[in-house]
Amino acid sequence: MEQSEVAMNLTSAKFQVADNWEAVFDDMYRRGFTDGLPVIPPTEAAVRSMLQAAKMDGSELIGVLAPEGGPATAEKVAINAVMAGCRPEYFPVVIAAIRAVADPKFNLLGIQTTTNPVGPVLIINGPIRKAIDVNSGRGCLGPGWRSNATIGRALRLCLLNIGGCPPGDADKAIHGMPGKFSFCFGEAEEESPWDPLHVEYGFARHQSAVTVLAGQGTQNLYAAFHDPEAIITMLADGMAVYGNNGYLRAQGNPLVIFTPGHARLFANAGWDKKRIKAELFERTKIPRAKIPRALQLSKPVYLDYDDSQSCLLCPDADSIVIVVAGGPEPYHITYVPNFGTTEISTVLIKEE
Amino acid sequence: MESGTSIIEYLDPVSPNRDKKLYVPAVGDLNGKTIGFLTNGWSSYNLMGEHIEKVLKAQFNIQEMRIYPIPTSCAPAEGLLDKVADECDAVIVGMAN
Repeated sequence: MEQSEVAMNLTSAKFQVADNWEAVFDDMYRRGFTDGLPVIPPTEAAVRSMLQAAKMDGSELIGVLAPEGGPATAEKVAINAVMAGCRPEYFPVVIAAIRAVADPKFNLLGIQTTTNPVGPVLIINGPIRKAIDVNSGRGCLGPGWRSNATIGRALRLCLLNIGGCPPGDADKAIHGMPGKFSFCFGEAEEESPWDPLHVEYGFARHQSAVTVLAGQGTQNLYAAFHDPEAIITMLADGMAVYGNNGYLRAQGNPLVIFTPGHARLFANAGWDKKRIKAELFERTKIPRAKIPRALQLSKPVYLDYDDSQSCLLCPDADSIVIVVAGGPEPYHITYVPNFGTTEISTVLIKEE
Repeated sequence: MESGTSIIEYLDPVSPNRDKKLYVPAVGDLNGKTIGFLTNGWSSYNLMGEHIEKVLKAQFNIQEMRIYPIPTSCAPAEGLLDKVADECDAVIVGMAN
């Protein structure tokens, strides 16, 4: 598509402000457009560049975002991606992320408006990780990489401005969490002994995809054992916490992020992802008797179970998500607890 | 803005839906009306809902309050809101958490 065609399709209202960083940020913050951090002003030229990178017309509808039912057109998504600090070549990933969260099975309405701190976690797979320098290694969940930081942030700004969910207003999260600024990383596929996540979900290795799941934050587990059995025991103990929303409905997707070192340790001992998931599913069952029977504000599915029945973290072993990322040492495992009523969603990234 | 000040123009990131509110006529007198109550399954709703029903019956003479459950943390099932609109004169959304 020619750039002039893209330009013709920009229909958003325009705001004028003094041309200096402080004035732009003050104005956008005052209007409620930001996450509290400075943003890049979404000028027409910058938004056109973003659209051009994905060869998209601004009017194309990518999805509808809850709770407001806001139409996420390519133009609106591009505006928010510019604000977040994305480079144009990141834009196809942002588009795929929007498609993923707009899938009804993801239950964006619940995730956006719940009192739980949950937010979308983005996992990027495939060749695009290298092309746009997504960090899947040491520190991949932390600061320092523009693609990780700004792709996740772009999604968050879309959820705020297109979904219409300001924190403290429609977003009822009691505490929120830092991952609601940005929560995005790549899988260290080259260091993994197993199929990458997107291949597990039916895509080819040469394809790129983004997976989104609903996560409540991170729990670190220092699992410096050499024996897979000991590691699984510690990991399952760390996951079997009935205060986690997952147990309320036995739904959602718990995420386990193994380092390449841990993954190799398991693989060398003959453990594949299927076996690990099965072990974790069994070992995270909690007897009903362990959970107080006192009146709760909500009605968990296990409410009327008898003492011998098991409360489940998620519906089945396959719902547990295992990804390899981070520094190489087999020391720390990151566990991202699941939110109840949601299903993981993976979308192909269309690269031009 | 002061004359001579250099300006920058930026695009609105917000959905155009933001200012589109759907208004329906007020129900007015509740006498003899059927009131719907959407509940998302919180135990605390039981207390509030029962109390509200008593008040609506005693003070406003409603005919009936109908309860419609919706799954916790989810949107109503497909078609539920249309059903409620057909069956009720007014609706209260009971998010008791």
